[in-house]
Amino acid sequence: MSDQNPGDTGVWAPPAAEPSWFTPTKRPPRPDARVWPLPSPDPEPRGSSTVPIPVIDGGNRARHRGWVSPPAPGVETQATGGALFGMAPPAGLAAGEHHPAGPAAGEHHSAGEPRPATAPPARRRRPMPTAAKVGLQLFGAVGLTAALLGVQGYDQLHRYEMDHIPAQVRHVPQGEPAKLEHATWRVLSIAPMAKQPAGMQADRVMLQIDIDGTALTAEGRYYDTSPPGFFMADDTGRTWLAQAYKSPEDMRPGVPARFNLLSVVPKALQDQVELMVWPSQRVGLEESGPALRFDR
Amino acid sequence: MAASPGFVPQAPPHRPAPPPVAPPPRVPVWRKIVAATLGVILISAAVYVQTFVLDGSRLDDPLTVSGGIQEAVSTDVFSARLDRVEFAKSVRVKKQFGTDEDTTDKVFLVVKVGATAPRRPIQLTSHLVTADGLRFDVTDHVTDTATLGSKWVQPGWWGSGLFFFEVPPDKVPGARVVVSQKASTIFGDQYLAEASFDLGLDGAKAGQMIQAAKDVYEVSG
Repeated sequence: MSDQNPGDTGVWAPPAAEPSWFTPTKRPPRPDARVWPLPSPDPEPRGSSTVPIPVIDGGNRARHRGWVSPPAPGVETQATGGALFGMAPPAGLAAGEHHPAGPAAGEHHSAGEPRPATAPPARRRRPMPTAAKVGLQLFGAVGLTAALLGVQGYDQLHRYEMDHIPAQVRHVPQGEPAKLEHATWRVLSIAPMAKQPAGMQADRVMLQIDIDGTALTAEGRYYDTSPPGFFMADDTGRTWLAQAYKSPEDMRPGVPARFNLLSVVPKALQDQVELMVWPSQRVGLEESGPALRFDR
Repeated sequence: MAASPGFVPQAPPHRPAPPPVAPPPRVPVWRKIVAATLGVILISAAVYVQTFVLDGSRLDDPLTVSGGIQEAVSTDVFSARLDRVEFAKSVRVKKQFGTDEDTTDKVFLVVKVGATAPRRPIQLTSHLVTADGLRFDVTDHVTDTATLGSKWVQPGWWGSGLFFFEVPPDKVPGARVVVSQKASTIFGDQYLAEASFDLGLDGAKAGQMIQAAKDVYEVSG
């Protein structure tokens, strides 16, 4: 309120002669709307709006439909729902694709609609017979268990084969040299000792074996201090130790060196046992890896 | 001014009631009881089976075959037989040059073991397990060359040798002697074979044998 203009209330009012766009007008009464029970959230799926693009008739609109109402007794209320609200739906929405396909709404469906609204609800799969279901579950359990055990067994077998290399025995004809790792070996003689040691039992015999080893590489020189694994073997796979009682003083590459071995074997097998050479005594006892077997 | 048709949310049409679900068929009470019992039995069986699972400390246990005195016990890699058990207060080892003699304030338990191998040469070792679970290795008062531990056991015939243990006399009753293949610290099988022999000595018999222990036990080695 001011002295110059006592009618000023402090609220600015536009001149009455110039109505403006924000001049308040009387609002028309709102149509009745349901506020309780709470209306469910927008049943229209996202992306189903055709505004501003008009819906193309004849397309497959079945998948845009929110849900399909079965032909139920409550259909009449749905069909007249729009009229009850007293509102005309927008033109684009009037095609009926958002509304449940009741019998009345079905009239809006075009001829291109693949399924009539009165079609039965979505086909339900025939339930599986109980025997088939139980059998399938049993097969799954047994199959998965077998697969698990199989994978574990394969893993353990693979690891075992990595740790335990199978023997690769090469037969050498009589009197010929053969190469094993860093040296070549040639058997000179295998014969029972002329003078058996005292205390030798009657069923055993001590054999004396002479063998020449020729180092091929620098590593082969060390066989004089750590001789390879010498064993006598029979045809059934039994083996006996053959130990070097005389090793060469020095092994030079390319120069044959003499090993004298002794071995105690059963007397009945003294003409059958054959000499086997393994790279070391340990792998000879384990019988893994490459080896030579000299025929007699 | 016309009201926007979308100003008030349009009430959705009524959702139809779900189709009536057929009531589940009635299950007789006796079938429920049978099913519950079967479930409890299956769960109990599953729990019971877990008791067969070895714990971590037992996973690398040796494979043991048990026997008594003068009974041949066969494992996959050797066969052994406990021939004799003796006690001594001292052990004298005759060597090629000189003699070693060692006495003890406890007692030397001497076992004679025969052994053979089915396929490959093998070296054996031994230990003694008392009734209360103590483990005694072979004594180091007796040189290894006098025992079976330094000899090779070969196929085709039975070899024999001695093992010496130094034990307190009160630990002898109920003791067992275990002969096993020599384990390499680096290489070799983790499932070692061993033969366990019950000495068959109760308190009275052990005391009697220890009373009659030899003063000197002579071996060559």
